[in-house]
Parts: sequence; structure tokens; C-alpha cells
Amino acid sequence: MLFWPGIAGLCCGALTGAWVPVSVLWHTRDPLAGRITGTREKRTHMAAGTALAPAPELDLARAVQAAGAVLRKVVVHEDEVLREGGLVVDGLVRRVAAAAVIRNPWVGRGHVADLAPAVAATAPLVARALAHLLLDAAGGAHRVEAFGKAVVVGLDGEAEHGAAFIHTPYFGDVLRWATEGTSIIAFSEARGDAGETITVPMWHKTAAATRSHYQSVQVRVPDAPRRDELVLVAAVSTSARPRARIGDRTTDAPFDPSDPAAYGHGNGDTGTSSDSTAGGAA
Amino acid sequence: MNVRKISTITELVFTEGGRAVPAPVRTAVVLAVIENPWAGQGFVQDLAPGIDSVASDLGALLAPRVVEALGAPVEAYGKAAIVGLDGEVEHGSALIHTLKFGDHFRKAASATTLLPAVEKRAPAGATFDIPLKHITDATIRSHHQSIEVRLGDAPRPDEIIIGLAAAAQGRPQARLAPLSSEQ
Repeated sequence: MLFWPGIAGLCCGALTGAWVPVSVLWHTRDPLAGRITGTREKRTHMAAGTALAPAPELDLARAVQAAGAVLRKVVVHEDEVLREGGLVVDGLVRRVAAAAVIRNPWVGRGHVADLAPAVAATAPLVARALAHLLLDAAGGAHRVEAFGKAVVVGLDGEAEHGAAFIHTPYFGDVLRWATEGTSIIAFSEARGDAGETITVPMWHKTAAATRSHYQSVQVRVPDAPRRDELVLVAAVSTSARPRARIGDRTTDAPFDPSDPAAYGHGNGDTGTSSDSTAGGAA
Repeated sequence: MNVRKISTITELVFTEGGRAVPAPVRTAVVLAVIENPWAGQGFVQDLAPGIDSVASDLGALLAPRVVEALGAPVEAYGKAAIVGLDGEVEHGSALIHTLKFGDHFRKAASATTLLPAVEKRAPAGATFDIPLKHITDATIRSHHQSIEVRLGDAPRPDEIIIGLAAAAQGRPQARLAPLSSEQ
């Protein structure tokens, strides 16, 4: 393990005189595998205009190309929720989705029987880069509580092409490993035109049945996927839903869907504002 | 100022027109979803008190975030105000067309020019394009660009999305002759 500065160029700004606060992330890395094992956030100041070195994974466009594919762009969407239901949210509620636009390696080749070689060559590189971006935004693997993944296949592709990328070990195992999760990963998939809004479901990274962590985040790439492209998405959340209060399977009242009394006999909403016992203040 | 959420969108482009770009092309947007300060008040003639209580805080909130999200020196910038359906476009314009708002970004980016802007009234989930121009010379053609964004659940009718956008360079593969070549 060693500390590796994710962002360089913190000094030498005195000439410009304009200092702005920035958040600098220092990653704890396994130097051999390049795995990000933790991140700590350090508030500091950086001079406006100071050059920052791009994270090394962002050179991956070349690596992906060397693997026989094309990475066109990456979009990261981060939502930080401060209020929900009109009340201030406790703690950090940050949901992040990272989307990579790659060329569909099978479009124009007719029916390709064996999809594994192209996926094995490309998916781990893309997944590792997306995980890096997600952990940067979330503040490290220890901050990640829930995760998910998604794919949108451009109009000339097969649904199976998207499945090959996200439902084989080459993508999900990298996300699970980087985020220190153990659960199967929630997912969505679609075929669509450029600009499709992608809703990425997420659940708890080690306890998928934890109801408080069922949530989703949306990401959209306005000009992707083109007909011969795929959008691969990985997503994380740092918390449960803000103000989660629907209990869990261990606390549910008995309910029998085969019992006619289960239908239409509820007494509706008897709640009052005093029922809102979850944390937070107006 | 009541901020419901802050969304950050960063984009890195590696190829354009089928060709690799020399370095990843970076663009960042930070959007704050706030309660419309004039919601439920009917027609308010004098917007100055609302501007004074909100605009500077908004600029101070967004400017460092967008510079940080970009992670590189800012070369082009722009701003946005998307007003929910119950508000006036004038409400959004009030919050972004004031030095109290824009100077935070100008200072953080060492910029001097006017910030190009998009202002519109729209339902939640509307897409909008934020125009960007060069931070010190708005005639530099290579830096005329825009970025399209969308928030699924904002703005609600009584909310406003206020945003800043920054780019670390001009368009990918920019190759237009400069304005001076036509003068």
C-alpha cells in the first residue's frame, strides 16, 4: 500500500493571487494492481489556473483502443441531496453514476456467436476507470453503501451485446471488488437512441435485501449511444434513501396476498406530521 | 436560501469525428436546485432584496465546485437559470445577471468576460443547453460551445435551477478560421 496523490499541482499558485478552495483526494492504492482501496478527502486551497494532472485511468482511452475498441467519452453525474420532503437531510447523501460510451464491437459483423473475447479485452478497463471516477466522487470505497449498473445498446445492436458487457464477470466483478462489495449488483438495460435517460437501480453492496438502500440515480449522455455504440454505466450511493422509513421484511405487518381481506380494506392515511420520526430538522 | 440538491456533471471526450483528441476534453457543470425566493408572493416589483439575500451565496456555492469538478484550468465558461413553471423567467435572470453572482466564478477562473447564459421556464426533466465562451476574449471561436444537461426531478414549479459550466479547452477538433480572418 502507498499513498498516491490523485491530483497533483497543489502549490505554485502565488502568481495568480486567486485562491479557491478545492477538495483533493488522496488514494490508498495497491501499487501493483492499481486498485483503489480507500480515499481520504483533504480540504485545501489551490490557485485558480493551476494545472492538475488527469487521473491515470483517464489515459485509458489509449488502453481501450489497444484492446481493439474505441472509448469515445465518459460522463459522470453526481447528485448530492440536501433536503427531502422539505426537511434537511442528515449526513452525506451522494449518488453518482459514471457512463462510458464505447463502440459496439459486434455491429456490422452479423451474428457473432462468441462474445467473450471482445468483452474480456475491454470491459475490465472500462469498469476500473468508472470505479475510479465513482470512488473519487463518493470519497472512497468505505463511503460506498449501495451500487448498481446499467447498459444502453445503440439501435443497431442486440440486447445480448449489452448483456455480454454487464452480466459477465469482466464488468461487475471489477465494480464489486473496487467498492468492497459482495452482493449481486442491481441493473437495468435498454436499447435506445442517443439521449436516452438511464435510470440505474442500486441496492446495498453487501446486503441486497436491505430495503432502505433501494434507490436509483439517473444519467444521460445527450449524443450517445449512436446506433453502433454502447453506454456502460456503474453507479454508487453513499447512504440509504434520505428519510427512509418503510421498515424492512423483519418489521412488516403480516400480509397475505391470497387473503381477500388484503384487498381494499386498508384504512388509508391516518398519519400525522408527528409520525415523521426520522432524523433531520426543518 | 434553501438548496434541495446539488448535481455535478462532468464530461470527458476522447474521440471526435472518429479521431482521438490529444488530451481528454473536459467539461463540467454544477447545478443547484433552490426554492424560488419569490414563490407564492404574486408579482413582486422590486427584486433587489431577494437578489441581495441569495445571488452572492449562490455564486460562492457553485463557483468553487465547478472549478474543482473540472479539475483543470478554466478556459471557457457559462451559466444557467431554469425557472419552474410557477415562476417568472425574470426570477432566474435576477439571480444570475448580477455581479454578485458572476464575480465569484470570474474570480475563481481568473476570467474577465461576460458569462453567456441560458434562461428559460421549464418543467422538471427539461433539457437545456448552457452556452460557453472564452473567459477573457469572447470572440475566440474555438471556445464557442455548449453542453446539454437535464435533471429528472427539477425544477419543480416553485424551484429554480441555477448552474455554472466550465470547459478546460475549446471544442474537440476545433479548426475554424479566427474571426479576424474575415475582417
